[in-house]
Amino acid sequence: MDSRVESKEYDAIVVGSGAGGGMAAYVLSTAGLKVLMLEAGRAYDPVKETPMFNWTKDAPLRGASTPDKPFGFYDATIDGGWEVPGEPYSQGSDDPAREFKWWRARMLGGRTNHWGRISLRMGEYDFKPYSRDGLGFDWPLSYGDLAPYYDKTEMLIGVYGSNEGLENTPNSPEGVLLPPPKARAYELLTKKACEPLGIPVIPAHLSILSEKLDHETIPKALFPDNELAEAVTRDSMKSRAACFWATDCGRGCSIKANFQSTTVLIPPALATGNLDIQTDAMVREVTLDKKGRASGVIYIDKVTKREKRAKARVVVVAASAAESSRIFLNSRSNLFPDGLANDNGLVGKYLMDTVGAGVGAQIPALESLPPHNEDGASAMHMYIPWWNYQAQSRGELGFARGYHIELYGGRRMPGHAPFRGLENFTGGAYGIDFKEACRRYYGSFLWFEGRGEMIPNDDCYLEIDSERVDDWGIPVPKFHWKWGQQELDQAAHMHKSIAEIFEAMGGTITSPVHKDGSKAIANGGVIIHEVGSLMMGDDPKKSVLNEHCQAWGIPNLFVADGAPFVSNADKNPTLTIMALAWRTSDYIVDQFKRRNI
Amino acid sequence: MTASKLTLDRRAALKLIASTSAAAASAQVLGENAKRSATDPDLVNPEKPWFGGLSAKEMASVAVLADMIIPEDRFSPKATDVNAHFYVDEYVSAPYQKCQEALQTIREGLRWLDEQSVMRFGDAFNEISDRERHMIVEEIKWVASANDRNKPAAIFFALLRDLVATGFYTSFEGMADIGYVGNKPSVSFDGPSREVLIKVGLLDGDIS
Repeated sequence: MDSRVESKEYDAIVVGSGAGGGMAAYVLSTAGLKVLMLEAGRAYDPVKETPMFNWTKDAPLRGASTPDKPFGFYDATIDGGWEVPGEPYSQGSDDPAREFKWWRARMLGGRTNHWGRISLRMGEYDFKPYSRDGLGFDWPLSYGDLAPYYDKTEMLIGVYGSNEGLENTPNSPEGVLLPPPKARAYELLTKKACEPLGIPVIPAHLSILSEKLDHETIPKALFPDNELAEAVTRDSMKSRAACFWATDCGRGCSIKANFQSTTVLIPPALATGNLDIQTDAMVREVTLDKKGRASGVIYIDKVTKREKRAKARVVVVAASAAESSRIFLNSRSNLFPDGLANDNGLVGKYLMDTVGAGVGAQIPALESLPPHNEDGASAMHMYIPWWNYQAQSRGELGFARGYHIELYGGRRMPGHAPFRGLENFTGGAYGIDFKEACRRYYGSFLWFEGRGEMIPNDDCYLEIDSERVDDWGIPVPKFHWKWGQQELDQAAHMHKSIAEIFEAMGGTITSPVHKDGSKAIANGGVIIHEVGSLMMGDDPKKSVLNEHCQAWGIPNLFVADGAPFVSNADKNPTLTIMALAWRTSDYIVDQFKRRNI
Repeated sequence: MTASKLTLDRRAALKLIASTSAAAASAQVLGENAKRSATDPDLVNPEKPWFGGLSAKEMASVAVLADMIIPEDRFSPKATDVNAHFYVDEYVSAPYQKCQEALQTIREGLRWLDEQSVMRFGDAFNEISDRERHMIVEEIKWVASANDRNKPAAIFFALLRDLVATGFYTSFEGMADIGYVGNKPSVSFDGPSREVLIKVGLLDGDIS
């Protein structure tokens, strides 16, 4: 552990190193600010640590999910999951349906190392949901405010996809997206079956380099007036290879063909010479000076278990939504006895996840296909965007917000239990019959997952459990959760729609199709789209942060992760977290220039 | 052969990995690197720490059953030829609750088979004839068709089949049998071939 950190005075401390923290550190350090990044987990370099090409047969339990590695052995996540050793959390209710499962990844880059890479822009409707249907809240900014940052983020990280011009599914400017990979057989079959149903199946948007990024022109376009930013971005971009269509993105990527904070944001930020990163640093609280402005943070050095302090002119909290709220709530002082910026009691409130429900099927048309390689980009090449905006606005659906459908299946590398459930198709075959069935059915099983918007509600929040601390002595969060009827009805609709699609494909459904949404819906936190709990807004009485994600009343305290979200559209949050973090960081730089901070 | 059909060979891919590796910056990162643990194992060079949960006698029965589930045919070898039965042992030797429950299920299932064999054919499962073994397994091959008394044994057999199939179909021989041909680096992803599209019934669909 280096003593430099404690003695140094930084321009900015960034708490967290994932999508938001990585972006904030990148933008601030390339603008010339001296930045300290604090990460609760260990250092991690995907270039050296990614199991490229490793076979499932070489992994313990053939790579199966275990409590230690919930997404399977080769998943990039280190010291992470819904349960983290030494880091308990509490539930507000004993009812299993009201449980919130809190995912963490204690490693440099956080969950960007393993995430699904799905990179969908929120649309115009998504920023003004209250104005459209009277539910939830409007964002203090519009799609137009964030669009330039979506453009820049997509140019920087590289996103494949297409512009389809569909309702509330924004196009990117010409030339920003990379070409989508060709559809797989099952994706084409889904598209064909969906056409008569009026359901669009279009190229997915994923942050995977289907082609190399143009390192000569993009950095110039991103930073026309900043030579340092342009140079470090060019070098970093140049070192990223295009996808070679092998190795699951969830393992991370040693050739940097997909987006990880550790391959795309942190290396150029480090190359500026303006960034120090301290890992194994678990931040407990933000400290204040006599004027009530943020002066730095107190963190626990996890190696020595000693308390340390770091000082800066600006503090940017990007520890992941619930962790950021926890830091705010644990930062108690005479000025803020109930936690930082919590005069109105809204810190921790309106925590959200994504509505998730899925259905599986076996598709006869996909049986006994000639062997062919369907690895592709590992994740989706095609997906189903929400298609029912019109019916919804006419009130025909009984729930107010949309969902998209993610398509999974194909001829994947066999892992643990690759033919579980096959006995229902073979009557329990074993022997030669079983081998023939495996040959016939391999690749014919599909699993579609709905991912829908949750409307924030009063029952979903976190507070501090005053009776419990983690291994670092930090009071832990207690989660309260209850899905609203909107979400339950939406989950039931997901099941119904997916089942209809499978039926149109001539498939046999292999999992329950529930009319009761409470049986279909995944628990809170399971989809790992935890956002909200430090909501932004126009009114200091009704929000924690302003439109720049700046704490009301504490002008040098900012939040740069998913916590500022006031709604959680069906569009997966990471791209928006990055665009918003970039916008916030630009504002911080501007405030520095104006000497307001 | 067009450029898009080119496949990177593995050596070229590894070279690419090595070249990007050299450019990695890690200068100002202060803190610890890997401290190996169950939640932070070496992913690149994995170790398989779990074995020995089943006794030699139990393993002998598992081997016989594994080859009943996956016998040799003209496409691929039998389960024990690729050591698929050892995967059963690995799985039930792991410390996780699910695995420990599986150990009980396997152990009780093997005991049940021996009891049935002795009762009906006068000797342990491994000692009776193939035909006799099949007569017993037929009764437990599917949970849905097994009679109520045999349900626990059918649950055992379903688990065993899953584990043997895992061991077998994750082997190179098993992957070749079902036609998994991925995990190869290539310059482009070309999508399904004409032959595949015809088979799926998509040739008149949207092919671009």
